[in-house]
Amino acid sequence: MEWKTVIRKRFARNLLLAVLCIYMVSCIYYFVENKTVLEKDYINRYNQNIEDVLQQSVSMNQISIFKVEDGFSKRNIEKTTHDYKKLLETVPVSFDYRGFTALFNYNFVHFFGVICVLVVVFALTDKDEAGLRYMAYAACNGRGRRIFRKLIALMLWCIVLAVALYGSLFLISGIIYGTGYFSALKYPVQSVPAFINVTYRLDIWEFLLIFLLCRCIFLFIIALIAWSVYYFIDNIIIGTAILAGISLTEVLLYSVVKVNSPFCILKYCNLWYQIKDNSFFTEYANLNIFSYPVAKEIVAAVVIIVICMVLSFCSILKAVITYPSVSRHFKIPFSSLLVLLQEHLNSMGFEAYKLLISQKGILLLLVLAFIFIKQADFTVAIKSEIQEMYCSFIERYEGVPDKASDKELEQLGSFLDALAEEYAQAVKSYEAGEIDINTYEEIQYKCSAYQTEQIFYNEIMTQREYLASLKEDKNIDGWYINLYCYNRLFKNRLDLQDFVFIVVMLLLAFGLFWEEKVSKTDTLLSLCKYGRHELDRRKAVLLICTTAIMFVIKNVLEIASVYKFYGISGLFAPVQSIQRLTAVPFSCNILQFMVLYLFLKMAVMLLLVLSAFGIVKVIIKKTGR
Amino acid sequence: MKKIIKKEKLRKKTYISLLFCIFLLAGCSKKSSTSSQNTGKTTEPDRTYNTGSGTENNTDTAKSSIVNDSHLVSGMKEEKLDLSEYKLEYNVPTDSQQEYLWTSVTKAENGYYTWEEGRGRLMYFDIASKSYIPLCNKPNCAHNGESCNAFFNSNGEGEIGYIRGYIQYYNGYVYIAGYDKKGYVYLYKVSPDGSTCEKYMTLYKADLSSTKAEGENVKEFRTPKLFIYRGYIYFITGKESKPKLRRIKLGEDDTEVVFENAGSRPSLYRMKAYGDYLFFQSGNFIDDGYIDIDAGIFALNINTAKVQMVKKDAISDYAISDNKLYYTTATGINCYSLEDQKDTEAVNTGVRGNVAVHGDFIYFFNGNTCKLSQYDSKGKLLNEVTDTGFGACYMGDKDYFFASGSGTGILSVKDLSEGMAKWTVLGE
Repeated sequence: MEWKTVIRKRFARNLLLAVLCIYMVSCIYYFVENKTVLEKDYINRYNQNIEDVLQQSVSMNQISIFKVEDGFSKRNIEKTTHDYKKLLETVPVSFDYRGFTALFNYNFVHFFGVICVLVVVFALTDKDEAGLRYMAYAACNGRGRRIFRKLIALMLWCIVLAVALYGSLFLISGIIYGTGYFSALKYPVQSVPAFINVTYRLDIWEFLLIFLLCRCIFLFIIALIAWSVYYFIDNIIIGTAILAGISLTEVLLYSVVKVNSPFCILKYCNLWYQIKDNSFFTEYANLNIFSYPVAKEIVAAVVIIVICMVLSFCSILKAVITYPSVSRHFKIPFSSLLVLLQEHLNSMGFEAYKLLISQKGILLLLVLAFIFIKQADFTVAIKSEIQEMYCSFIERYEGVPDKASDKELEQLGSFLDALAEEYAQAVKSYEAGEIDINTYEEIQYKCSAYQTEQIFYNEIMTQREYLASLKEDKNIDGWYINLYCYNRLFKNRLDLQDFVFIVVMLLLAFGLFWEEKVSKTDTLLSLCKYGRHELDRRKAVLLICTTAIMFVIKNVLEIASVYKFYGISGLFAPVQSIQRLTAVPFSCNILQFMVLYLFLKMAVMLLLVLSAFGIVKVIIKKTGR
Repeated sequence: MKKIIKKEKLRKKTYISLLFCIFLLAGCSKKSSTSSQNTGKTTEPDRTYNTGSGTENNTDTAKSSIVNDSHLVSGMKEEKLDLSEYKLEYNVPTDSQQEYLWTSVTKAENGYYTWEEGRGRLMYFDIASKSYIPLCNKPNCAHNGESCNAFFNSNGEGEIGYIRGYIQYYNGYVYIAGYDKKGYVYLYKVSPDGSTCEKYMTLYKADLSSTKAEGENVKEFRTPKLFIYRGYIYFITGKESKPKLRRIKLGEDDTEVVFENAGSRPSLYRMKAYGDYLFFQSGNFIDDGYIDIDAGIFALNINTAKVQMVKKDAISDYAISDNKLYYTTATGINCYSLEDQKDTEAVNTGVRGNVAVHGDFIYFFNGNTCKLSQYDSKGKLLNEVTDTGFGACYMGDKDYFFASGSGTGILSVKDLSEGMAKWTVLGE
């Protein structure tokens, strides 16, 4: 009775109910706020669409590049023609389809479904029944069959959730738009504009059934992948990180892979593509499988079946073959080395061992370090002429603007002003017919030849004017410094790297308490002399040290990459020399500010992770588990 | 006793693991950065740069590879090309029609690929059916969104900015180029029917940083000049203070600098390849007026990487046919024999312009009057066509000429020869 586990676990049951309630409310709100409209002359558009496709097929068959024998293009054109020709026999019916349109426009239902299946997965995962596993393994039907039952339970729950979510959506849209549309279920599905490109001859009720079935399968595959990750990895931190990585990868693959990429199968057989909206059902696309066009639905179905079979088979096999163990040790040939290490560790060292080795936090940190190294771009870029000019000027005049630099800029400015005047005069003279086209063009060439100097002059004068206003307003002697370098060092926004850093550290904060929870020693530890505040203090110190080390690595790499390309000079310039930092209220040099800036960044980071640490500690204390 | 044996085993394991790590690290070594272009001759790089994941080398430190203030074009002597061993013949699979270089048009076996003006789609003009269509093999596609194979968007956040001025058909594939927001320039390989497009290689990285706050006014990307020829891609990046002609072997990483102009007010432009030679122009503006330039035509032997000055005082467009170099001057088109280095006037046009030579005909385009003229080999005017709606002619091949105007214009050479030529916009 694995399926009852979800109901028996109070937390999972309550969470599911809460999600479903929120879903209902949001669904009703969406339907009330977003009224769909009927399209005029849709039937004409439908017929025109088919004619256009068939006509385009005919004309494309005349083009040399599409006529290649045994080529994908030729086959694709033939298949598309064949699929659309079938629709000539379908006659769409004009009716009030607004309810159906609203139903398929509400895409949040898919995300609610994912949340619900994740709750079910969490309930069905064997997290902490350490001793129970050994008993289950020894019992009759405690191995393969037990896992098989879990998979069946997972499937049943996916079906129940899909029916609940999509069924209620169907009913709510019917209630809001009028139940008259129940009688329209026997009309061809192409009667609804959203399905103009569906090339299967189905009635609306048949299509809805298939839609529901597909949604069940999508939910099941997501549930199966999530459950398998936790089952094989057997570590909640690493498992969550892997799932997050899979999710991010799916989104990136969908966004980055082009439709004509050799890897377009990764775009269409993609979890994000399947849950973000209903494009999977409304879009017509054939994938290139060894130069043969195959409908994306068939490819997706095959991929899903294969993944389901492989994951199910592997899970059952693991349950049958592998003796369960709480994998708190790295199973490596040098495990005796680790045992020796454990014997010589003090309490702080042992906390580090638990976090990094037992809970495999070292893997997370290695992945993070890898990301930092990849992001720190040491490739030397080819500088443009403007940049070279700018860097050369700064190199010569780095410091407070003096007469020499002002004189050089004045000369350049005068020259460019004279050039601009010459050009303006040339325009007037040309329009008045006083000069010929050749002379006019010569002046144009000359102006365009000095475009680099003009851009450089604009840039440096912006900096010069800023420094002048700084002196005037705040009486600060700002310096000419290389802003290319400092704008990169003092970024004013978070990027993906920072986000990943925060997430990994939060996961580690969570993982600090997991070892005790898994081994059920938390109660025992709390009875020991140093098992409460002292232990917590050591955990906090460990977290601070780990965060600090990773923070240092990240920033050292970033500074090194900036140094490699621009060099870092002018560190003793007043920090307000950088326009972005004009609001700094105290006087210090760039070096001092950089130290303070990095220190503050680290402080914010530490505050975040320590807050997470505190919250987890409070939750553990409150739940008493 | 058992404890001692156990400790001994543990120590051995520790030493073995340490040794393994040392061997692993010692085995890593940087790829050799020297490359030799001359058989049996080792070259020592003058300078080494890092671009992309490979290295950048100067292949030849001979004087002719570098122009500088002590070795200007004006001081160089014209050299005779070795045409006995190295030819100027056209090889269909590996050579592109010169006239379309740096433009949005490229010739294939049965048609032409172009970038569509304004909309950024890849288009195909089929010669047989005279159809001008997006390069998309989906009959159900409306060709107006990202789901279309022909649709190459640009400059969106996180997207690739495709370089509209470059497209080339080479060895059965269409090549285009694009850059990302970090400044990496990539070469893409598109199948002839547009069904696949893959990132083929990374060319170089341009610095896009700005002195303004990050995210604001990111510096404009300077479009490079690209050209694939006989296994290499040659490129001149956007404006450098010392412009360089670089090349990378297709599919590899190492960049070679084959020519550099380090003089003051330098210029490097107009690459065209014929046979075993890659021709290009380089020179230095004489004064701050940037009007008069002292430039010449150079030739790079693609096999030996040797650069020679072929013709001095040749600053405008040129073409090569039948071992003769045709170049435009202020008064017309001159013909310079590459075999005996004799220079004669071929056509008197009175102005500078663009030139192309196909068979017995010389074509000249006057950008001021938008007039395309056809001459015979003796310089006699045969036909001409004028249309001010098409101001930039891409010159052409023996069948068609293309031009840029209100759309991409096309003109049939056959019609021109019969005196009935008219520019028409592709797709109309």
